[in-house]
Amino acid sequence: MLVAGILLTVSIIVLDIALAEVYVLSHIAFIFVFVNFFYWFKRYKIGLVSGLIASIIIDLTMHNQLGRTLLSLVFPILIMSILDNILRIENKISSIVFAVISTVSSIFISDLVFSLIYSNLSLEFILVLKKALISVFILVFISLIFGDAIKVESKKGKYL
Amino acid sequence: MKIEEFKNRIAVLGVIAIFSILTLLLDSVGFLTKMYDFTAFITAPIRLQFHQLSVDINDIIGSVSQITSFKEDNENLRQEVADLLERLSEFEEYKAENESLKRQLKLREDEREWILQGRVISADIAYGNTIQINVGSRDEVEEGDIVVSGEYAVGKVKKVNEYTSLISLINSGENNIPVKGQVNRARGITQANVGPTIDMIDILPDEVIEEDEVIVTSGLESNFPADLIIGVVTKVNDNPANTTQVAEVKVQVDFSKLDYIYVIKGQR
Repeated sequence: MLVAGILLTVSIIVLDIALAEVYVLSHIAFIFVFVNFFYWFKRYKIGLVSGLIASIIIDLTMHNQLGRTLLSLVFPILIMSILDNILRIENKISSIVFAVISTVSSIFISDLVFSLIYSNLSLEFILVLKKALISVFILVFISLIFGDAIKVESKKGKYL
Repeated sequence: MKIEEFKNRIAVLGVIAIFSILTLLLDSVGFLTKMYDFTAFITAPIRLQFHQLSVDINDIIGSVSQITSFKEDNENLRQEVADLLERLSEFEEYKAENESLKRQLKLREDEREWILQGRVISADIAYGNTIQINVGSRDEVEEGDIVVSGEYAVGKVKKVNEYTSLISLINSGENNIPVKGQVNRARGITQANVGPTIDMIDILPDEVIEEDEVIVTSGLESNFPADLIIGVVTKVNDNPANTTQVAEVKVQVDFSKLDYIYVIKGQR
């Protein structure tokens, strides 16, 4: 489990840096994609832990202030948790709809929080929209491909 | 919703939030410098390889997307080369004349203080407007130093650790560089814009600025030394209703393909 977790986190970081290098996605948006991917399949613990580690390493390698990406991760995860509890209980919405809603809201919220803290509310909507669309595309793509390998046995899943 | 489960989630997220605020505070007082140094030491060589690969990929993507316009571009470039040869000939004449005058007046050549060559190890151009280079405080790089590629301005050193440095590019919102037109000498300040362009603002109404004019650093009240090339004017907004003019400047350096760069001492 530990080895799998480490391998997973390393692959998230490698993919993240590679995709950010070819200007596909920002680092934080890529981390959201993976966290959302695990939330889709109710693997909350592994999603949160890998997101946490990836955020710390991204901040360190990208010379961001350590804790910045992590802080940007907190509010969207909170929203995702609320959405998960309200909407997915008794299967009110499907996983795919949840994933789309949570990814888009994650990116909007994190960018909004980020612009509130670090700049004077200068949110570039076109960039945010681009990030959100690419993120949703990647998330749905990888979830449909790797979905069967990660499905949980119990319906509810566990959270820490 | 199970209240117990939700409380658990809030508690975990609360701990993460407190942890991130703590690390932010520790970072701001320089407590975590060693961690950055260690990470840079481990990852810099790998990231250099990554960057090389991404430059190649971007190059291929760029070539494929531009394949239809190659013929037209080729014709334009031929014409441009012919024009440039003509201007080069004139330039050589002026250069010889200038050197002769300098010798007669015994003027000292103002040489730029080069520090060192570095390589780009990662680039965050679409979202962050920053690049990282593989030289740091170990190589005597300091915050505020200037990064150039030939005669082109690239950016300013924003953060330095032992093995790497973070550069904020000239089109970043953090850099408002005093600039001037190379021909008509109109002065202004750069301001970040979306995409590969920046705005040159605060140009006085009575000053002349034209399309295709080259914009260079003025060297006034800035770390950037004078006469580094910023870009070419693509559009001028000289609405008489405005108190100042604004020019749109296309940055001439393709940051996505940058590899070798030079760090020079910034003006203090």
